[in-house]
Amino acid sequence: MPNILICDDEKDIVNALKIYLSDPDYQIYEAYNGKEAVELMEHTEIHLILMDIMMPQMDGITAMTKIREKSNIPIILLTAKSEDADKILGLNVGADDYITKPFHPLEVTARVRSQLRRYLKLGGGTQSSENYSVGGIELRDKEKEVYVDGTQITLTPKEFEILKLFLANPGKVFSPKEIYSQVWKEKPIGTDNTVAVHIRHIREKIEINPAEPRYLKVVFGQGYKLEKGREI
Amino acid sequence: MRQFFRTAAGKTILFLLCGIFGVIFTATVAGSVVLVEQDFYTREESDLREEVFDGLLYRDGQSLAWRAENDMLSEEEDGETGNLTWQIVGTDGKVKAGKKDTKIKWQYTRYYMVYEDGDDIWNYQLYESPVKHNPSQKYATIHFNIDASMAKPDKYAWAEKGVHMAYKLRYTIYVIMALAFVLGLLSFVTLMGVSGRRRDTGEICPGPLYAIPADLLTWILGMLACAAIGIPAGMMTDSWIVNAVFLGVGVLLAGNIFLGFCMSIAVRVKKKTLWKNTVIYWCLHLMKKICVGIWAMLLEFPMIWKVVLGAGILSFLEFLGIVAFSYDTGILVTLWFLEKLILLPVIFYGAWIIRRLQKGAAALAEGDMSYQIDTKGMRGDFKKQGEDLNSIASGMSLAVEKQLKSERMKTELITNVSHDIKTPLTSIINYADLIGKESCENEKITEYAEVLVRQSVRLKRLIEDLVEASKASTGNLEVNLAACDAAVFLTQAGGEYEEKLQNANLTLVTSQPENEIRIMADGRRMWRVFDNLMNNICKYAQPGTRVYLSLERIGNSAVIIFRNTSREALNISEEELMERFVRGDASRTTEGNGLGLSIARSLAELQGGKLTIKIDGDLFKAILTFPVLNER
Repeated sequence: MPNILICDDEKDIVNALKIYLSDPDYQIYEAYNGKEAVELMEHTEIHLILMDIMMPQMDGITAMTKIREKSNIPIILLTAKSEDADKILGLNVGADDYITKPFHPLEVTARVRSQLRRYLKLGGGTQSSENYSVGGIELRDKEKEVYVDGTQITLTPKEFEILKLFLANPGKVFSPKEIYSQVWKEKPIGTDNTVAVHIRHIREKIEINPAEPRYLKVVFGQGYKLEKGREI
Repeated sequence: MRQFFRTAAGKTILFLLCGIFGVIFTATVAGSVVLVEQDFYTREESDLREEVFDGLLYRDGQSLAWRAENDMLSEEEDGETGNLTWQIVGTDGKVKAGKKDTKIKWQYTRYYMVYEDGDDIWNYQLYESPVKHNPSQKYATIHFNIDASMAKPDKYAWAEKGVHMAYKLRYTIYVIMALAFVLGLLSFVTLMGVSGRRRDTGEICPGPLYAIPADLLTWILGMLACAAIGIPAGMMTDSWIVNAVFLGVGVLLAGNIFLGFCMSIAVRVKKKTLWKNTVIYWCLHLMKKICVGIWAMLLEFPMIWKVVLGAGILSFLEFLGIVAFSYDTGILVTLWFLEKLILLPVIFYGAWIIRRLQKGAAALAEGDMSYQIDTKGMRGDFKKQGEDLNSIASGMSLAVEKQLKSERMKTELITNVSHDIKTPLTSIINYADLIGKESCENEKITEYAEVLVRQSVRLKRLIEDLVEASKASTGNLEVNLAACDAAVFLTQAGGEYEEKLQNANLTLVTSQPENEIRIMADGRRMWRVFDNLMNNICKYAQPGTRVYLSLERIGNSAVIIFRNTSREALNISEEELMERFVRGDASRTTEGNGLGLSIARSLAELQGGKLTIKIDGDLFKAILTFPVLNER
């Protein structure tokens, strides 16, 4: 049974999260500031932390830095700050994911599940000529199967080809025309938005929140790219 | 055809045609003048022929008479040369030379004077009737016959043919003249048209003559042409044929030079450099540059020096005037000198002070608010002016500081407030959701919880938009510009919004040019602009209509236009729509908070672009304009 630590100075939010997460078989621990969280970590085995940034006594960033000295468990930041600078700082210091307040409950549970599955079951992905994996996505070329956080998803052949292209070149930006000519093997027509539509469909299948994708990102004005996984 | 004439061969042919028609035209003009002079239009052909024959007979007769009287005619000569048959009868009535036959009927008879004392006569005048001239003298007689069949090709035969032809052609010559003129003009114009043009592209590539300035070229070629005609005209030899050939060659040469000159001028006209490529232009241009340079130098002079120079020149002129126009020079010059002694220092002092005030004002204009004018040594009005300028500077820097501070505080306030609102809002959303999930007998509770969730989510959006609007309008946003293909924005936006548009029962029509149009933009900010505009379309467009998204290049701008038909009547001005919290529907029943367009415009401006709105009846147009990125 995975142990989850929820750390937020707002009791109501901690309670709400507890209600959402206690539904399956998670053991929930609570902390109301960074200091409590660090102390609790010392004598309890925790598998995942949900942590607010702005807290009294010790803020989330400091607490996370302390925790990272000893542990590599997944940490998801909860933040009311939607500033990009804060997100980037959080991810750089060692967060695995972030959720902006106010959040949708389902999104929180999905992200928690995804992080836990990767941490407990999958470990690091293996890369071979037939299997590609980035983050929680695994693509088996021979069997034409795609798994996201261990769950199989169904893709159309073209969607599969596009995803394979991205998985083979993580971090690289592909323009719609490049994708078209590589997957359809035809010369692209100017006003066609087939590629854009396919990408959106893939995103709906592999992302928890397609409007804020973790993997398949839109680089507006340039093309699309697959974010290199934030491996632990 | 045009292509052919642009080749070297085509140009040569045109050149030759020009020459040939030119010669024909000149010849026909000359011919027509001769024809008029010789009355070809009033006299009969035989009459004209007789006149020509008469002339020829006169020369031949003179020659024969001279030879006969000087015993230079041999016995062998039988009185037949070419088509001419002749006989000379002496003063004694006996046949002296030529045909011996006395019974021949002669067509022409001429007489010449013979002196009995045997004096030599060098020039034998021929007379048609001796009696009329001087009956006291004795005359010898020459008889001529001209063979009418013209069996032999001598000058009489040629003369007859010539007169015949001229007579026959006396009207046709004008037709030839006109034709030669038209054709000559045509080939001339064509030649001018193709001169300097390349065969394949029609591009103008000037020849070697182009390097010479037009006026210099005119002079050189004019001299050459004059020489070509003048030299043969000057060295007249005895033989008229040689003269004619030389002159003809000279005139032809001059004609060629003229044609070449015309071609070169045509090229210049086509390249629009006729005036610019002349020595005169160069000289004028140089003079203008020198004048401008001198003027600029004068302007560059510091103000004090300008004043010194002006005052000096003025004083000098005054001095000259006094010396030149006054009787009592001594006293006036003294007075003048005294006046200058007082006035000049005052003027220089004024100039010096004004210079200092000028420097201070310039610093203010450039935005240097810390500059303070040194008012030491200033008096009266000058001092007041200096102090005023100083207080403007401090007042302005204070205002700017205040403005900056208030902008910063506003943004900070909104950011902080939004953060503080978000925390309780998180709880509201979550607990409303939880209430909805509780199994409850009273259905209304579930329904009310849904309303709570929906409205709190809307509140969340409003807060986020508010922060963004405030940041965008104060420029408090980081913008990372990168070169983007503008067409990709359209395809990506089309792809992202396909389903949403379908749900709103709208058809998207995209159009973009073949060529790539690159602009500088921040992808994330640009996405927000597109997101807001596309969202508006989904919300406010009339269902069942088409939505047009187009990209085109107008001059140096990439123009992206969103076009849709509004569902509600737009009783609102374009400026008002851009205002924050203003919405197209007066009832404000649709979702949305009226910040979308305002944010989109601020973001577009932050990226160096522009967003304008056009309303035409129910047609709503949002126009994004970005400067095109020029490669290299």
